[in-house]
Amino acid sequence: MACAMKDYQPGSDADFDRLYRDSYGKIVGTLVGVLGGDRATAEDCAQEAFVRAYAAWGRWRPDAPAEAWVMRIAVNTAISHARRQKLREVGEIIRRLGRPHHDADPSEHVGALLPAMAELKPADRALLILRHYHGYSNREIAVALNRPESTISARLVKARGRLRSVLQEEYPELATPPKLRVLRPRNPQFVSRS
Amino acid sequence: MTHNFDRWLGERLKDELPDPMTIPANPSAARYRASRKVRRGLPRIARALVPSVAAQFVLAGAGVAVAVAAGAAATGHPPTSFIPAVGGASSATAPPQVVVAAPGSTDSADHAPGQSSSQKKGSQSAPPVKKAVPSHASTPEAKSDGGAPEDLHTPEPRPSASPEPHGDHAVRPAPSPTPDSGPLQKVP
Repeated sequence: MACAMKDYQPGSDADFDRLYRDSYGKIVGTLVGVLGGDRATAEDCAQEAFVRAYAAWGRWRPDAPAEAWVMRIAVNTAISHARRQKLREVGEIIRRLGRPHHDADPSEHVGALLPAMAELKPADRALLILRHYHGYSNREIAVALNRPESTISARLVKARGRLRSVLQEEYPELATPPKLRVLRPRNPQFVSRS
Repeated sequence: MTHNFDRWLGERLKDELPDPMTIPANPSAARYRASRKVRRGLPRIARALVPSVAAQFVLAGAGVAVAVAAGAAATGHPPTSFIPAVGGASSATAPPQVVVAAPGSTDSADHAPGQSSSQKKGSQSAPPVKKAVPSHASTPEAKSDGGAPEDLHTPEPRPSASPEPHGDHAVRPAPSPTPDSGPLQKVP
């Protein structure tokens, strides 16, 4: 994570502007994935995250990377938003009482990955994006999300497996081939005896 | 196979997610700048002097009191209390009402020479005159209203009773209610 190399002064407005300039694109990209491809909501959450970060900027300690700190705030903001959105959708489903829903525009999603990732929890989506999109190591993700590294590793394995099983319908080549049974010749002595 | 899947996942994510370098990051358009403006709007000295909300309330109350006192000094009308004092006028309300009559009488004396030219001034000095009206013609109005505020004004006749011998002051209150301009003309 390159942010560890940069020096930011807590409480400095100029440094916060620099932090915004350096990390806003990455944060929006992450939140687009966490929020299932909704870029407008992702930008909204990113702005809200920076408002929260700016309010706490004077209390930020330089021993932790600033970009990781902002990323954690942004991911938490997006997870909270996704939770509220899910509650809203449940209310909408109850209100519609099973009538067909045509609000979703299929042209918004270019590929099948983001819809498949929507099957995962938002926190797991964030893990996969930080790992495979930004290329962070497990340790860096652990620092960014303030979780133990072992927890990050275990959750990544689980999330990857779940995503793979979801994607198998769309991409059959991703299916793990069944393990071939190796047929060994029987023990000739045993065969001869029988 | 796991490595292949990881690679495939990374490539697909880069295809489907926006490139961070293409997302414009302009701090001047950021939302946190608005909160910065609000925070910088308050002078630092004031924030240092008044850190707590309670102290701000106290200072606001003191400011209102000073403003009311200044207004009273400028206009000559002391602030009247809206709290009905049961069992007589309170120490805060009674003395100022004594003061009301004296400057009111001087004002009315000032208006007296210019009555014909400025009736607007007479209408501006209406409130103190209104108080004097029930004091002199107290019996009919007091019977009609009979409310506590009228009882509050009962101490007023004493100060206004002193200028009664002049006669001008007794007649002048009547015209102050705007429609009756007749008594004003009778005075000179």
